[in-house]
Amino acid sequence: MNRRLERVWFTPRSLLLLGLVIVGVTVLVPCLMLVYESLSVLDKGVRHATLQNYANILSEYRSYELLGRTVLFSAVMTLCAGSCGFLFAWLAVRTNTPGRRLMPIAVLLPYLIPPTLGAVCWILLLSPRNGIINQLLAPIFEDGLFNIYSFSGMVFVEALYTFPLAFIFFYASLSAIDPVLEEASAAAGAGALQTFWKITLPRMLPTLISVATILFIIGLESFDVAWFLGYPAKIYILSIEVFLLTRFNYPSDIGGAAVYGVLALIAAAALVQLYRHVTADDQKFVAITGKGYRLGTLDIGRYRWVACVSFYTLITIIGIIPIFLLGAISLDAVTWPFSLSGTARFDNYKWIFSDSESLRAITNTAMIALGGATLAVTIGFVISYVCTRTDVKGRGALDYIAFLPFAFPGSVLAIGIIATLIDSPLYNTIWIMLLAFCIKFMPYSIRNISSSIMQVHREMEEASHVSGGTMLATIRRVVLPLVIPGLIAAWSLLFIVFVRQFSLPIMLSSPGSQVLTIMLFQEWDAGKMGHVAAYGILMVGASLPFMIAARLMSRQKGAV
Amino acid sequence: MIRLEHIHKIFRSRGRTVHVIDDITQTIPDGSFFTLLGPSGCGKTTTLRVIAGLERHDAGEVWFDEALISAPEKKIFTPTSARDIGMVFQSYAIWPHMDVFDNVAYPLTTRRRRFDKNTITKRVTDTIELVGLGALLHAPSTALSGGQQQRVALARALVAQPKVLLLDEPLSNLDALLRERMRGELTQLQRRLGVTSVYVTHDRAEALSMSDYIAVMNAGRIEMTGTPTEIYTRPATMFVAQFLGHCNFIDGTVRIRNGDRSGIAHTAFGSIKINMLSVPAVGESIKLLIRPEDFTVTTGSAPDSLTIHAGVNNVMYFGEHYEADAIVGEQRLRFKINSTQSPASDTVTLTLKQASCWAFAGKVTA
Repeated sequence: MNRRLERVWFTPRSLLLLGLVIVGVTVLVPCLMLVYESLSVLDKGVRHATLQNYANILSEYRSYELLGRTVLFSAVMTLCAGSCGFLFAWLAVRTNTPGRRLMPIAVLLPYLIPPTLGAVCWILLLSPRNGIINQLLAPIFEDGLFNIYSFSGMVFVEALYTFPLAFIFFYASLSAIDPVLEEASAAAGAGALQTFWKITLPRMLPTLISVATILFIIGLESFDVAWFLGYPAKIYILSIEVFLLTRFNYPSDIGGAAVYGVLALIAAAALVQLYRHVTADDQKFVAITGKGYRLGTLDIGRYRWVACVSFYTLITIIGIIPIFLLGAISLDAVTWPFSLSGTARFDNYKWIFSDSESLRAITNTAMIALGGATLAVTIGFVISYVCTRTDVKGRGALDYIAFLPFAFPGSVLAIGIIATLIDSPLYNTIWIMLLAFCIKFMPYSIRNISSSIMQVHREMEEASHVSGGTMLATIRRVVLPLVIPGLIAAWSLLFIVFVRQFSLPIMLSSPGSQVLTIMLFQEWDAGKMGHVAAYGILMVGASLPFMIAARLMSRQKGAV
Repeated sequence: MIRLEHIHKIFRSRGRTVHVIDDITQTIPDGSFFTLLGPSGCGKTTTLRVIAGLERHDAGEVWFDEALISAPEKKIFTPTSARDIGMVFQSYAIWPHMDVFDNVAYPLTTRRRRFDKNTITKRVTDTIELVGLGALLHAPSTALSGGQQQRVALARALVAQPKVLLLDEPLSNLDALLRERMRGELTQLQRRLGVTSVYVTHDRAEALSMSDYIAVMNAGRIEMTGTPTEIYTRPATMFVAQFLGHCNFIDGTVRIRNGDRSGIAHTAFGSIKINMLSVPAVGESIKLLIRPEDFTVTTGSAPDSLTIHAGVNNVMYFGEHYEADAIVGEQRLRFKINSTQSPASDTVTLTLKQASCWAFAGKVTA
């Protein structure tokens, strides 16, 4: 390419425009379509502008109950997962708890289990009559002590599987903070507890708020657990209601679903704004990571054993037992009422790899995950580069819009996408899912890639510029080689997330475009526990190498 | 020759505006070692980055010889990659994914300058020899020490034989011994190659020992430009005087004017010849600038100089010399003496080594 053409086409501004066009089409258009759907009704093939949808939803007591339950669900879940995550992260980073070095690795084990599987496992353990734990307790509590099909059951399982994420976030930011201020407090005569209250907590406040915001958003957009546990008991939250109104009810009420969608959109915009506000100063932290501060300085006495035992018990309960249970069921090594038979058969695996529908689902999932992760990383790199390394006006808008889908419930985003693409040939193909996955998880991609770009010292690029390297040459010869590990890590994590995605496929898939999670649900619905477990083991097994890759590649520990 | 004409640069962040560069006009002669010296936040690095094009200024013009390189009012901006410069960064910015050779060869392989393989090999090898790293030609750059990285960065900046060499506090990350050695090497190399060099530092010893010219900056402005001796012995402003080292000021009044730039002043300690930028009228207040090393300990008195009888306080040993405070009434005067003449007694008589003093107008504000 000649030099002048490169000057014209590869400028920060043209990259910004490219990014804005992409997020404009993929994020803003579905949002606008959502608003449009909420403000119109289709009557005998003709669209009318109307506020009827809003009137319908907002005049019902049930709607407020639903919204209140959604917020309560997210809030309680945030509180539980967040406080456990923070407590254990603090114990792992700052105290002499035994086994603290293994904690950030051990916590990835439950992270491997998709929420769908987590829900399934806990139904097996705690369903009122057949749950294994309830069966074991049957001699004492006849009707089953625990009922997983309840609001508290939903919160419990959701919190269990959000806890690893909270731990990872807090662990990363705690280890990036120099412990000298805490040491100064100890030198001034304060005990461990006083230091924690007076120094650690106030200092961590911005991080606490930002992580709490992320957890709350995860609660709001939660679908899998709420579907498996809440739906059978008719305990609905917003994401489920949206799905029911669009895909389940007859006649479907897309207008009503869109009203909920718009409400979620407003909440999302506000939460994203809050998150960006509290993390605005966070980049200063990034600059000081990697210094390798000394860990584990605080002696907490005998409590260190309590801390150690409770952490690893938690990991066993949420990570090891479910995988063991699924493995046993998938090998037909379990008979009901619960006991291990001691023999293993591979029929379930044979089935999932021979049934034509199942095979197609596996192929579809592989294609979506491989293609989607590649696409999301490529676009994510361009957007991250523009937002972190150029000073063009408008990059803030790009960052903001690209970040919005982070807070959309998948089912809400899906309505926008359906409304946009219903007449296009993409509809009812796997490509609409690939597209939806990329839009929904672009913020994850950008967050990960941005943090690896920011770790490259700016002078690395400037040294190329003063040597005569243009922007394109600098990206190709300096930036890309330095962030490749970060890109591989981001790609791996996206792959894992795409394999386990449930709320988008349940809205967007059709008989020809099934994916693994949908098959899993179908088999669950049909009571084929062996097939469900085999799918579960397949998903965990497929995720494992990518989790290891991501772990090895990401120099920054909090990149998950 | 680099010319900066009325450069302005304003940073805005969160409602605050800071005038980082406030109307700088400066000519940097061809082949000179030109230093921008000042405290942190004075705008020296920003000025350097404006010359490099890494920072865009808001107003004014940057000229390289007869070429207008950047002028926001005329919408002219030559991107950094098209400027004929080499630059050494504070962090060295050695690319860790390339070895020493590839790092240094990079400027010869960009679109602007593309050379055949033999030329590249020859020039890279020569330049690496020049900075004294011949043995490490193909070493991975991650295995280099700080000093070696510094040399690689220098070789990379020089390999394309740029018209201008920019150095952003290149020695600040080295330990003290290495820093002093590099000062000498860098100066010799620059003199030998004759490349116009702009050097940014906050270290006055570096500036004084290496430069042909120094521009002392403060709060976005150049306070004074001159040779190292001019800057040190005839500072234009109190800021320049104080930034270059400890200053004692003694009140005096003008007694005789000898033209505009010299005269004789009367002080509490006697009379002395003074030099100033502009001597005020007879009878006006002035303050004499006396550096600690200007004092010498004496036993008698000096007729044409100052004679100060003082108490001694706060003696500090520095190895090659002592510093101590001479107490006269309310005033403390820092003086410096050889470590062979230990200031054993409680009182001392000081006089000046030189026959005249540099002075500023006005009274000492204590």
